[in-house]
Amino acid sequence: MARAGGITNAVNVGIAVQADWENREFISHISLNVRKLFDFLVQFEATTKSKLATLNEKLDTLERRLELLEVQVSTATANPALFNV
Amino acid sequence: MAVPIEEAIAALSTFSLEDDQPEVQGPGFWVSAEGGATISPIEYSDVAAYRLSLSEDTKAINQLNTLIQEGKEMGSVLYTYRSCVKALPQLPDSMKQSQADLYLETYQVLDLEMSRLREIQRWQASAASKLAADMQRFSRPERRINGPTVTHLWSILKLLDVLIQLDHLKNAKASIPNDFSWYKRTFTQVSVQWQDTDSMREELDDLQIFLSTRWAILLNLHVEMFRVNNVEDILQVLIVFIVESLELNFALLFPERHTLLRVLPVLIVLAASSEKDSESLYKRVKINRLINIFKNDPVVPAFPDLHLSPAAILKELSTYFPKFSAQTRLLTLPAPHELPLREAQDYQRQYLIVNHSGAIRAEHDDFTVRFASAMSQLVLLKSIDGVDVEWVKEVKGNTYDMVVEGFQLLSRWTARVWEQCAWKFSRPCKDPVPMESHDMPASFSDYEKVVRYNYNAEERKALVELVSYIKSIGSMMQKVDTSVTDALWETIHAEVQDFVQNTLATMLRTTFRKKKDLSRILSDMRTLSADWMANTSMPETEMQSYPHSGEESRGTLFYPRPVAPTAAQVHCLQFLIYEVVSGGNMRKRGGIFGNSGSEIPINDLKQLEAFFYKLGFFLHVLDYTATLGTLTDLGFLWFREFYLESSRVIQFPIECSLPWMLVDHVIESPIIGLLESSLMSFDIYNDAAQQALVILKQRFLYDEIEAEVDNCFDIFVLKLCESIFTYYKSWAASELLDPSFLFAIDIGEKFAVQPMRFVALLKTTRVKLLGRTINLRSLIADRMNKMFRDNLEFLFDRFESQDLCAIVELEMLLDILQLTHELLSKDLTIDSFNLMLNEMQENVSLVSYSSRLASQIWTEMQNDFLPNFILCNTTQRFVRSARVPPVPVQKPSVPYAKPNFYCGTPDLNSAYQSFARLYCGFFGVPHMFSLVKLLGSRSLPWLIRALLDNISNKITTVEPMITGLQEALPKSIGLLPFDGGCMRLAKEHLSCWHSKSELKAEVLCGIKEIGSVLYWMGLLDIVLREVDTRQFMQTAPWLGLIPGADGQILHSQEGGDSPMVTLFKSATTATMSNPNCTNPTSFHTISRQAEAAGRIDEKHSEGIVWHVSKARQDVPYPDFFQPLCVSDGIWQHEYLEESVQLQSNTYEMLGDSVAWGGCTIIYLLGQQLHFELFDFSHQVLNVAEVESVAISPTQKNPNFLQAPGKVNERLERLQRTSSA
Repeated sequence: MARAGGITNAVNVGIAVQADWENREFISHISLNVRKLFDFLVQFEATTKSKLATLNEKLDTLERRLELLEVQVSTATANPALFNV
Repeated sequence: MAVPIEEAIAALSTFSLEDDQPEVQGPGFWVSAEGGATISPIEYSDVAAYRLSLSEDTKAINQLNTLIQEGKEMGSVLYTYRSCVKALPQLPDSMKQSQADLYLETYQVLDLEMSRLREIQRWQASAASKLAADMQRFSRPERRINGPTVTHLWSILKLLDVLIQLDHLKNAKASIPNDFSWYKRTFTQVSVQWQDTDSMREELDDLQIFLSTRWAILLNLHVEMFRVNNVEDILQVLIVFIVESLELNFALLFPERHTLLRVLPVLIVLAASSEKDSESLYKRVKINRLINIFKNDPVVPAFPDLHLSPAAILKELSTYFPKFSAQTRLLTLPAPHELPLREAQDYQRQYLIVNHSGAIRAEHDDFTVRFASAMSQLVLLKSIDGVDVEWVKEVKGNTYDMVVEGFQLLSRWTARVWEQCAWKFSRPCKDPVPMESHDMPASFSDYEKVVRYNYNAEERKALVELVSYIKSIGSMMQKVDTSVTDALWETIHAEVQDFVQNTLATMLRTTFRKKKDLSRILSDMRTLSADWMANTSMPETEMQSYPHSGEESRGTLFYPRPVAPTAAQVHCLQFLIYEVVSGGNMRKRGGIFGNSGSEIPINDLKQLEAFFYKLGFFLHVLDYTATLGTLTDLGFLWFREFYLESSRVIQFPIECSLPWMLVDHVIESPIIGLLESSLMSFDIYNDAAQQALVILKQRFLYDEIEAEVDNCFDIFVLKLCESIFTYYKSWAASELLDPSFLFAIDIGEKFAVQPMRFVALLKTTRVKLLGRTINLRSLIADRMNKMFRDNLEFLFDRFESQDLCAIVELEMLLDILQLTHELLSKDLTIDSFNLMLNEMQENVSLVSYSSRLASQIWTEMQNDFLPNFILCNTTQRFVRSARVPPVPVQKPSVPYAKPNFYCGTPDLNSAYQSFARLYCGFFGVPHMFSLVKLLGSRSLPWLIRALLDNISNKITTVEPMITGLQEALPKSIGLLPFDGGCMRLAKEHLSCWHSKSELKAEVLCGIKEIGSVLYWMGLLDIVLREVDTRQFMQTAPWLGLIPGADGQILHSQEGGDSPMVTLFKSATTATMSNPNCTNPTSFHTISRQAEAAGRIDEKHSEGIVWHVSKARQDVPYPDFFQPLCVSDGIWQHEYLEESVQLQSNTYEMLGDSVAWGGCTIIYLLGQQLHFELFDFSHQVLNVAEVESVAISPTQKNPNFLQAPGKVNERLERLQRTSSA
């Protein structure tokens, strides 16, 4: 009956495993940093969006105020006679 | 020049990425790691490298995994299957001839669906045979191959689960056989023309048998398995494995736990139905252990809206597996609907989240704090250099522990939600009591019974709370994903290395020294995972700094390396540990780790066991985001495919939808703490949509979810805005109530407003909904802008439907609205109140001085006030005359509005209404104040001008009438004699007017209206003076004006600047002296301008303040009165005479205004001397005075005495007013 275990060439496997650990350290390092980079981009997008939203809000207010002023000016210019008295 | 990666990445953190967004939503998974560790992405092809002769096993695992994947897809096809027959069109009679075409079309449509079912049938047959073959191969007693590994066992269990689920789906979906029978009918119709249909027919029959047989898949599997009679061993191993895993319940996340619970009863049935002695199973696992497991979980979630009950499954299967029916102990377990009341209540207590909400809250709070502190320690650690290695290890280990705890917590909670759902599905509400009694439908659908009416308010609240806990912890953990990753890797690496390098070394030295076989396995474990070089890669100096004292006892220390073991390594390690423990013999009695007959000492066994289960959990930790995604996925709360089918509807209304019920509950409930969780409930939709697209892969489900979300979100925003508006409105209204009054009354609390926290929601600019980003803040702002406008519109509409007296109420309501606006503006950017007010008043134009309100007041005065109101001199009020036949006025009806358009809550509304009622019966000084405040200096002159025009019109109309009356008088009237005939004589003189009484009345009315307008303006004058004085007093100190000793106004500093200017100047000097000031010139400019403004103001202040009064004075009254001449004295007497004759009657009709009108005219014509000279009444009065000594006064006398007295008095006052 075949028992488990019995790595046929234990020394070679040991060396390979060691090399594998080191290689994977490099890979993990790179992949982690890529993920960090991506995380940053996601966050950057999110914060930028909310900053833009704040800006947009201010612009909206200004725009409406401007609209009002425009209407007021237009009423005034439509009746120039009133200002010549 | 290349920049090192760490530096480049670290540089990114210098960006400021802060926004004050509240955390009101669950995690969003931007990058899915796709379970790279749990499911080996390279299909364990690296296992071969470890030379463990596992190639057969690996092949089998991959085969099973592929089958699992396929099976899941089949499962989603079946689960989302919706009946096609229901959608088939009926042919009208006129088109009966094209029936054949319809059959063909139907056949083609159904054929596609049926081909999928055929595929499932074929697939399950092949899967069953492969699974059976696999089990047989790996359970041969004389096996030559290594395996099955633990991963293999899991794959077998998962495939079994998939098959069982498919079987359940097939059994539960009634639409499938329905569609099939229709398909068969069309097939017989269509296939008439075809040749060689025998094979198709055969296939159809096969499919029909498959579809119509309950448990067809399971029966087939049973047949396949017992073709060769040696699978009992592996079945027993599986059962033991399941029982031990469930009992330990350490490394299992809820999906796995549910899988095991679903598979266990079927495995028992299969094991018990074998040909051999079925009792051998109970020798390995005591039956009580099984019964305990079944009793602990009477319902097991299987699909979002379908639960399984182990007891019921056992019972049903006993009819299909006759051998199993002997297992009476298992068969007497009660199914959920048969539970005795007492037990059911116990389970109810266990399943309902509401009974655990206190504990859950405590767990949540505790965990949040500890997790946050672990994170901050980690951050601290990264920011310092050269820290103690032990401390680093401790902090990172702590981080790992927190993550593990977090996963377990989330797993427990989400499982609770699943299980509560399953429990609720198993126990539908018996007699639903709809919360809104007015729309009582005749019957309730099953889904309503299990969902809509099955959760009471408390349970909804608890569910909302739990959902938001799950989501918030999920997002908290997801946020730190990349920053904890290396700490986790490092800790896992350290754990593995510690085990293989230290624990195993100790074991090899001691326990296993003599056992060659086992020690070989142990050294294999070291070979395949030890990282020896990690010891040497550490710099020498640090090596020396290690505390050497403890080294002997703790074994080798190793340099931390942030690399996790691969899936293959974990797989192999688990396999080897399993081998060590079980001795490679499946037939051994007892359990896996609970093996008392083992040669391994209990201590080592414990260590091996602990590491074995830890290894299982490592994989979940390594798949950080994927695990989080699974654990926080609550999308199942939306799905209801079974109930849709059984209810025969296309979709349920959103009131039945659990996610919406939760959102709705949050908004409607008075529990304020829940508000911020409302968006968390929308995450359920996000999850559901994700599930529909990624797991179920059904576009139509996504469309349905999307439609529901769109609808729900609109309603949500609408309701949210309503409650925000109501809250701020009632806050403002209760602020404006007199506090001392509130303090004094008993029911004061009724008017207090419970504070609510909308701030977080008002700040949210990013709501993630089905991949869209919604700016909630701007949505709310838009709606608020509209709401304020609507409210203003409503208030004006309301005013227009009432009379002039309502102006006080209007002012009150506008004040409240303004304060509401002010309070809300602190949290939200909305249009300025004045802008909105101007817009709604139609007052935006620069050249128009009237406004909606002013013209309404004017119309109201013209149509209602002047003709229908009379003046009472004593009270200074105008009241509606009871006698005057009211001039009909057409008014719009009072518009209806919700309470929040008045003062917010109904209580506050009634409070304010009782205030307003005080002012609704008259028009006096308070009204004038409101009017002045509302119209302001802009529209008042316009109104005055309109009133003056009105007077001149009236005079023009009245004048010819007066002339007419004058002509009727006798040409000369002598002095009234001092005897008794005085009155009579006067009457005689005036009797000439009897014929012209109508004309007379009209003239009187005209004069009364003129008088009313004049008195009204008098009131206006009084009020304006007060208002202006107050304004002046407020601004005076700023302009440097101070009251002198004799009541005169003095300038504070002669020739100096006003305090305002001084203030600006000193501010400028202060700023200038500050070296930080970058642009001092602008402050100079400000101070200059302030000075200039001060000077201008000194010159013009008076002119500005009094311009309104001047405008009044400038109007040349006398011009209008020129045509009226001499006859006024007589006219005046006529009025008196009239008042004598008609007494109070006339008074009630005309009030005091007539006197005012007449007197003004006389005064303005400069005729007061004439009047005094020729005044009848004076004479009559004199006579009366003389007479009153001797004769008792007649009834008429009081009136008689009074009237002229008042006239004189008024004349004097009028003189004063006019000359001013």
